[in-house]
Amino acid sequence: MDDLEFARRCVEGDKRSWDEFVDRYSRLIYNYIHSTLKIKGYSFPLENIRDLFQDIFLLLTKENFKKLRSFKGLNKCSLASWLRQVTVNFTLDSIRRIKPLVSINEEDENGFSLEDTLSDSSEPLLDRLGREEKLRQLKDCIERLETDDKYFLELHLERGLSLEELRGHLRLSRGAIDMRKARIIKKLKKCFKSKGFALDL
Amino acid sequence: MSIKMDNLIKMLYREWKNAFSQTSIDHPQDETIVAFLNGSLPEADAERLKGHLIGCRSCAEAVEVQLRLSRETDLIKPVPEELKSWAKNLVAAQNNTALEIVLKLKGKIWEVLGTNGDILLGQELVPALVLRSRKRENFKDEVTILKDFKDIRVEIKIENSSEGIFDLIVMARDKHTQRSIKDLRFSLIKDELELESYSADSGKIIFEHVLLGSYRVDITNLNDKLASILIDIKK
Repeated sequence: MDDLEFARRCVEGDKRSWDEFVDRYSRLIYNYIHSTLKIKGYSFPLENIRDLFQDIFLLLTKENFKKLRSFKGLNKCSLASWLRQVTVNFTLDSIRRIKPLVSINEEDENGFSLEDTLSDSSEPLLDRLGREEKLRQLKDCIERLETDDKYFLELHLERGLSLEELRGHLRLSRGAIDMRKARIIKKLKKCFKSKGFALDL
Repeated sequence: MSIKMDNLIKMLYREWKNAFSQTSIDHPQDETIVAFLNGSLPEADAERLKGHLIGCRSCAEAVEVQLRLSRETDLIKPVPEELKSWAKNLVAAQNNTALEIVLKLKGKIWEVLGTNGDILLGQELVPALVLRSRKRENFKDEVTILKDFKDIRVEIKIENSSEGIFDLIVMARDKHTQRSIKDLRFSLIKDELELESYSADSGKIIFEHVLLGSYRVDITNLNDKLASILIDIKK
């Protein structure tokens, strides 16, 4: 029986199929909750992990299995891979909900708050405008990059994935990954130069 | 390449991204992201998704975690048994056995080939096996079958309309009080395609002029599916 047919039996209320679903996938869901929390640097009490596990099963089954019904098996997506994505998304959403908000008045170890930074008027207006104009021009070089290059920057610099970690995802050899990065840098340096910024970094 | 250059580009990228407004707030389906990670998403869709990921922090974070997860494929932690039992009980057995009906239409005669419901025979309700032992599988013009679900009693009457066409009369009542239930929705489905769907405060609906074939009727209230009826009418 393929995944879609199996999911269909579950959402139509076949008790035996549902029991098999729980036996087959509860370990996957339980462990991916743990792994996602670990990757994001969170350590939850076991009680909260149990709550997350139960919330994911409620998500799958509520409103007449609305979520599980949305699984269509498109583009060779397996039920296990789909459940992994559902688990990751749900766990990340839960982390976002409990993340403490940073107070705008809260002072850091140097005695400065976010409010101080935002309201800083020590820099003369003209200097500030000049700096903003330069920044705008440099940002324009990012804008001009192709989507693939921006996506590379997103994963590598913004998300902190190593070039080795990106290798499998981008389906490139390590050498090709290095070349890709070098090519992006070259493009940016050229663009910076065209705008009058010489970089020797 | 120097760390300084990395940091400069990172700073500029962040600045650019902060000013970059995501035009679409529609997040991709979970399956789309999985297919993208598997490399099975069509190229045009993958390009569109990359554009979304650049502008959407939550989706990009999910992709990041998935990429890091792929190195951590061990599923070693056992699930506490009571959690598994709890999950299994989300779908109670009594609530989820669909009413199954297989009939054959011979002229104006209905032959009951099989059902897990009870068939109305005069004033008496009899299971299909009893019907067979009494050699009373054939019904003229109409056949009525009932089944109790967790909260409701479903009665379905299948009537000849004209050759090869029939009417389905579906009725749902409170199992204990036999009163009609408000805000019920009845949906006629074929091959996962909803053909007709009506809400009925009376708890009764008629699907008229249905062609022979296999169908499912779902009965739902505002929150849950209360019953499913699988009907297979052969010629």
